[in-house]
Amino acid sequence: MNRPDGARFSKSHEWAVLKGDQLTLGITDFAVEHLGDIVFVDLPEAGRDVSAGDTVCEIESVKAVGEVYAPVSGTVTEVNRGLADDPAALASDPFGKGWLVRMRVGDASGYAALMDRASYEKHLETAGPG
Amino acid sequence: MGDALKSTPLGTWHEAHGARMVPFAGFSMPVQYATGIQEEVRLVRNECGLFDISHMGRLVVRGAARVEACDHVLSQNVGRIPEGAIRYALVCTPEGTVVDDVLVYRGRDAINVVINAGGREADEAWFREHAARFDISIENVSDAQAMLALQGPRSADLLQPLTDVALGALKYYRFTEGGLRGPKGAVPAMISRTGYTGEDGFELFFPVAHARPIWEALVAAGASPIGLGARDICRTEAGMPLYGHEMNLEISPLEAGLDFGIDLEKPFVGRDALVRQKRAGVARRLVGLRVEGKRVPREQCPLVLGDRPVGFVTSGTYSPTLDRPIAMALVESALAREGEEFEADLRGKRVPVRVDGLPFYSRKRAKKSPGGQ
Repeated sequence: MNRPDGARFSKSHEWAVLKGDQLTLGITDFAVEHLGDIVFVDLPEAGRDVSAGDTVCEIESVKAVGEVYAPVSGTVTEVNRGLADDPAALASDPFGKGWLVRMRVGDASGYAALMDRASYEKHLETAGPG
Repeated sequence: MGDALKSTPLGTWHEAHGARMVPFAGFSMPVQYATGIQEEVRLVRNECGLFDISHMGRLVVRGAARVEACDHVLSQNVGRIPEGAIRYALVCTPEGTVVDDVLVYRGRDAINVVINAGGREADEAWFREHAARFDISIENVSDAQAMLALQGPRSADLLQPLTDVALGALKYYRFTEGGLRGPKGAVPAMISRTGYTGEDGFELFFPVAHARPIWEALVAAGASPIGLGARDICRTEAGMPLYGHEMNLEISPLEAGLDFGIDLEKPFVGRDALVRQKRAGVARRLVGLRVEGKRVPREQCPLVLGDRPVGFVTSGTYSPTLDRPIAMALVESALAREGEEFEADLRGKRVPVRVDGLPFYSRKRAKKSPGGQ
């Protein structure tokens, strides 16, 4: 799995890419692998305001539910509706077709605090699953 | 973390074959293989799945008073089980709640009790304490025996070439002694037509030293290794209770609808409490839930009618076979009727649910018993 160089990563296995004030959020290949067979992605409505640390969407796999946390505060501007019909796209292409939400970011300071790819990969080596 | 996890005799095989291992009742167990849980469920429903369930406990009760002892400790009428037959039973507390649920195998000279992994030590101690006055011996063979399950419509065809037992003559919930064909000759085994998936299938008990060759022979014959994840989904689809979920030290077997495993006409530990409960009527009952939408109400999910709590989910999962969420729940008795509607509180979001019949899934039974006769 090619983890994008330009992305930032959280300890809870979200990835985020910030362009201007637009943040694209997803979950990593590690999270996807850990969740197992994904059957449903519960996406938020566009326009919702979220605070850093809020659950922005829930991912139902056969055996578990995974919560996706907003790494920064902002407003949801767009959600990946395609995942409603094809949740498997999240598993097959988590960094591309499997993006979850786009947000307009108010305060981007939380973004800088996320890990870069190398740090995230080091985190994966030391962190157990979950 | 607590004590080190135990491993079954097949633990290294699972790890070498892509299993994801998780802690379960003190054991490191495969929750799934690289196959994935949905595909594993499909294999069990349509082909033949192979489960390592050597973590489960097994007690062998022998001695002149073995039937009386088991009848005292277990809710089922053991004296009435025909030789060679198997029945479901509960180990109850004097208060009428559940210590464990078990299968009782009535043999000629011994009674085998198959218990949950979590009850390996506790059930043995419970038996020794409560059956102390009976002239019996109790042998815990949990570590000495391997236990495998073959489940799915192809199980009989697949197992038949590997055993000298005529499987077509072995009826549901019956068992027999027989030989399994290992690479180095016959392995003495106990074979039962039982399982925990809702499919036809067999459970095999044999000395632990043969675990790997027999497992590998079954895999070579076409059985697919299946993890505990798919096992839990299959049993939930089939509406089968799991100890610690549908019943426990706080839930009575009458609430869980397990009357078929209870004979209130004979004395046993917990009987008086259950008789009183039955007379008064139980306050809550186990039901199946039909869930609107795709989100899954999982274990402990609260159920509400307006603002009033009316119960909770005991087991909930997405069902790959039915392609929708399914859940079992304990709800107040007045609402435990098919068609009653209330809501599940899914982490703050309300989802409509309706009481549904159990099981969610039952196999189409073959007109002719498979396995040939």
